[in-house]
Amino acid sequence: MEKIEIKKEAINALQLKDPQVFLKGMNVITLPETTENISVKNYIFKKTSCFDQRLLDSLKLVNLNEAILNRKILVLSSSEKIKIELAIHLIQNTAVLYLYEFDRYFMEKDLLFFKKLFKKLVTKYHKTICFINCHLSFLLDFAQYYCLEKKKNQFIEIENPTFYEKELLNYVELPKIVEFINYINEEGKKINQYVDLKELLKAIFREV
Amino acid sequence: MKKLLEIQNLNLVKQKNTILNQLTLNFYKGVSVFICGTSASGKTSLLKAIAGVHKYTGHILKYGKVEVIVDLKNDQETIKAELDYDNLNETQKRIVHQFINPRILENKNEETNEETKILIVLCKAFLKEPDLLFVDQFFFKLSSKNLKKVFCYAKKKGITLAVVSNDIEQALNFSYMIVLDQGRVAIEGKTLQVLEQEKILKRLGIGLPFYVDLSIQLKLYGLIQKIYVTKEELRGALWKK
Repeated sequence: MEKIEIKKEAINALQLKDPQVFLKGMNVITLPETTENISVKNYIFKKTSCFDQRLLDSLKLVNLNEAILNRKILVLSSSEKIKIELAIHLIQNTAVLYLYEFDRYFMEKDLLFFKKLFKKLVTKYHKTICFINCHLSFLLDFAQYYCLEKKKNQFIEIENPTFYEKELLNYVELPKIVEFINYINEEGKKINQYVDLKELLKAIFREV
Repeated sequence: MKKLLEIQNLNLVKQKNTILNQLTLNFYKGVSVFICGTSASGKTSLLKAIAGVHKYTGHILKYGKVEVIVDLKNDQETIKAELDYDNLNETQKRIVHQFINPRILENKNEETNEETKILIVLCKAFLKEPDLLFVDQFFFKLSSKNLKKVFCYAKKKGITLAVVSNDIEQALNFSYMIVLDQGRVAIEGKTLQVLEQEKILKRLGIGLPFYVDLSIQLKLYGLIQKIYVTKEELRGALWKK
């Protein structure tokens, strides 16, 4: 595979034809495949040799409390396991966090929380975040750098796109708000390219 | 409507943690179901209980052939071996070809991309001719083209789909919706009726599909009278042609 450039201290979004090839041998945050029936505390300790304040701080950062430490790793839900994996990477102070299909495990409220956290990790802790996703819609309002595989090993790189960037939207499923506003405008109405539902509502109210 | 699956007072406890709590649900032929819920609400555990992977108390009564796909594990070396292709009859092979290009059948499983892996597990389930098929979260990783194929095939063959997902936009592809919270049913009903319960969903941290959300707000402003789920319908209602 051609070398993929990741922008440092930024939120990157990668859309790849065959992510498994890219992910092979990488330290990616995804569901753990452990079959060991051990407590979360021991699971984290095995991976980090850490049982101090850093552990509690990392759990807090990912919106978990210390009660989870006494539960068994195998009984956790998918979302809890992903949070634990993220906490482990934070304890290890990993410079680049690779997250594979991260959004799949969370509902809207959790995703809003994590969007804030990732922004904070970049700005305050100088981390580099890299999402590897097949659908990029949820990243469109916060990832800064996009690398899209157009054809096998042919990449398009886009930096700080707007929500309505045509080059990006040729390869990414249109967010519904973009789809709707584009459709309305094609039908002869004049509505600005909003990304916020409230703004769109006001615009419709003026236009109808 | 023929009942395919009845779940009565299902309890699932893992290491003193209650995962499913007195869950009672029914699944009917032809009524596709979207199952979503808060984090750790028991979505995957429910599927695993139905699959018989988890021990539970209560009753799971099957009145039809029920298949459950909870992971993408493939044991065989090649796609062909995984599907036991050489032992399939011509009709079964045609089913496989609808989803998997015959040219890649000899490919090794470990070199297969995730989308193909999903299609393989779906094919394996389709070959068993289920009446009701449960699929866990990875279902919506399929491209829209393949999703369409799967929906069409299931409809044509009378397979009722019940899919677990956090992608709320996809709820509109299903006729019935179940929202789980802390191992219980928070809301269930016809999809649009559930989605109209905006306050409960938002309290649970579950968003709304864009057109439903927009319609609800526009309805509050008095600009439209009901909920629309497509851009064409909504445009038609706002700017009557």
